[in-house]
Amino acid sequence: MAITREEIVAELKKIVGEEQVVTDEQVLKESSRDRYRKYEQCMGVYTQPIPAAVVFAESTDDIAAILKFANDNGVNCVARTGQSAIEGGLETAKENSIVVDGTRMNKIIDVNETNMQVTCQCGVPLEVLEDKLRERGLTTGHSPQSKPLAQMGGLVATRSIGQFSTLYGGIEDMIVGLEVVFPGGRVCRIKNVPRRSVGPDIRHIVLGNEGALCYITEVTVKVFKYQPENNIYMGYKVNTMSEGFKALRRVMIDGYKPSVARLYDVQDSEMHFDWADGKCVLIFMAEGPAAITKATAEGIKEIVAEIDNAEAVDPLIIEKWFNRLNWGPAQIAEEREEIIATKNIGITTEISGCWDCINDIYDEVIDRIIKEVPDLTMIGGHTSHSYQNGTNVYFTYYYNVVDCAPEDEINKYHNLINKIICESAVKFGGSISHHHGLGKARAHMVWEEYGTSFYMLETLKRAFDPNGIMNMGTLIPIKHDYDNPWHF
Amino acid sequence: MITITNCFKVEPDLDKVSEEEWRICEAKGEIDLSYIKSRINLQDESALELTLRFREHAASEGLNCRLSAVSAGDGKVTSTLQTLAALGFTRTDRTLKFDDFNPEITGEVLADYLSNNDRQDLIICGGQSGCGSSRAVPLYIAYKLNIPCIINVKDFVPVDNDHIRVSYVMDGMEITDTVKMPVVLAVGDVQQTYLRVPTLKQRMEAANRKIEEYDENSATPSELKLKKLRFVEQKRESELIDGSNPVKGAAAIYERLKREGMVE
Repeated sequence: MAITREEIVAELKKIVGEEQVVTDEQVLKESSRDRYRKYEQCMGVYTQPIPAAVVFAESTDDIAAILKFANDNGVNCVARTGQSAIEGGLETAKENSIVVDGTRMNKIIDVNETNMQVTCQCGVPLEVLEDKLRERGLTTGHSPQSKPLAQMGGLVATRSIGQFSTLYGGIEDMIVGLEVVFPGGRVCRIKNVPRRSVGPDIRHIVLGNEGALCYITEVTVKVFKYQPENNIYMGYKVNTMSEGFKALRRVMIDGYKPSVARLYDVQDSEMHFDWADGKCVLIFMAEGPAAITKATAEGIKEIVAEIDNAEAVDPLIIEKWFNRLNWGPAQIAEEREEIIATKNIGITTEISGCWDCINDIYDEVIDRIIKEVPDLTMIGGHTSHSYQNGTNVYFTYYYNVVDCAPEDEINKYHNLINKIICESAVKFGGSISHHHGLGKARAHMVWEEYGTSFYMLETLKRAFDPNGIMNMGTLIPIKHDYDNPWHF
Repeated sequence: MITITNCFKVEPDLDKVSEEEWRICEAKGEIDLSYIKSRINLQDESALELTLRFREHAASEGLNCRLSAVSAGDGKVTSTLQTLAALGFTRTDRTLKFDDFNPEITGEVLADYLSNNDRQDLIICGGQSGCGSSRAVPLYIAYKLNIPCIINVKDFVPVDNDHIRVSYVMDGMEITDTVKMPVVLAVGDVQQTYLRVPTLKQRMEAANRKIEEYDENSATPSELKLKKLRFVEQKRESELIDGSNPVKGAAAIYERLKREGMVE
């Protein structure tokens, strides 16, 4: 017989103590979802199963004990830290789930300036870590837009990436070692070494697992010298996305590594900049030692000079704009008020593709969304993470919610748009998610995304989570209707 | 037909200026706000949204409205004027002269513009802007046009082609009066009045609307030079509650409230 909610709560209280187990109704409701269901959040509607409890872990031993209990009793666990997830990864998709919150595990354990590494628990907020490191002239180099909210465990679990990735890389390039807990309570540590060749890189079982395989309790990431005094900002107005993509590609393949390399289309430029004048906007920032930033900036300027009619923008404007980019609780609260008042909501979906197909993906997505989506008020996009072989596109779209109950909004608009974007990405050989994660929002297309390699993901899931207790519905959907794959 | 013109302003979003950036740019003789994204003045935004609701109310009563919008400002107003065109404002114009710190000039320019067009039944403005904040422009417009002005307006609905019912705040009390048009309304702080968002289809349908520029007034904006800035201290009494986590913090606050008799 399945364990009841009351029994789950009673057992959790025995494991970690009453003070660490929360069963307040409103807390449980809010913990049943994340910003994937932003409209439901704003309208105070809850469509997902309400969890039995939120349990605040304070140590790795707590996590191990909780997961052992959950594994023995078939209780679905959702790992949570900063709550900045936007793809449904935090939804409690099964009845009587528990949310295992690691925010109290917030110690910075060691800053090692010789090895240029920092070790911290999963609940350390990135902004707190970054502020502490900067006092010492160091930086993680990691700056996702969610930095004011995000915490280290979640950042690793989602394969996050930051605004300076073109220089520092994504989290996968920054991670050194880890401590994780698997269902059943087994604790595993991966040691801190610069590189090793001792079999497959098992860190990649953890990176991006989105809580579907294990719980991340401790991370060690690289740190770098913080040298903002040498930053050089550059901005340009260009006529087309195609020209912009070509410039970005040249910058990357010529060997330059600006920390920021972004291209905004006309619509997204208009949202961000007063001065875009109906053009696309290219933005760069060179960062690091003075000689390197100078050479990087000169190289980029030469490349952009080859674009017809590219027009330079005052670098101070770029610098000031960039310093205001991140979203914190105040912006989220303001956005909520605006959504409630206007019933106009903005969402983002990001994909990636190689250089030879990214413009095709972009064009088809824009074209299809304009034609197929009702009540659309804006569709645009930008690229913010470029590589030797390709880049991402971050689509931004707004729509009015018209004649639609809050619980129906997600299928009438959001999932429809996601479907179009993902279909176009797959069609041209791109990926359906660059850095937000599959979550539950795009898990429906995991088979199309993986193709024959789905076997590897599924085998990992069966091996590490045989009883199916780790964030079920994330990465691999638990409900999948082949006739209506986009409806929960 | 009830004819309405909204006067509005687009200005830098001053909430985005950090404390360090509130300083005088020597070269410009003012605070450099060129890098701050502009937004429509909040009370003007409320006024515009209330105007759209007025139109909807009028339509439900079988009354017709013709909406126009004019902004005193530079090129940054173009985007907002295009949005208003998409929302059904049939005339969207810009006056080239304005003066943030001399409301009489701005009022005179707008009054001149209004005088040169068809008689308007309603002239609606936000009561106060972020830059300048004189609260005087609506009053100057009314004075120049010799029509009444009601300030601190919260809402207004049509009665018939000649009258409206206006709710406004005076001496802390909300009053509702039936008023004969023409009248200038200065909208105050009204909650939940974000301007609605037009669809792409609405924008495309209004894409060819021309924005007329009005520059026929002889007023000369003042050439003020900013000499000194002084922060106005707005402190509140506060106490730092020591709580190592949210549960402990909440418990500490609860105990404090209990001691003060605010909770049982």
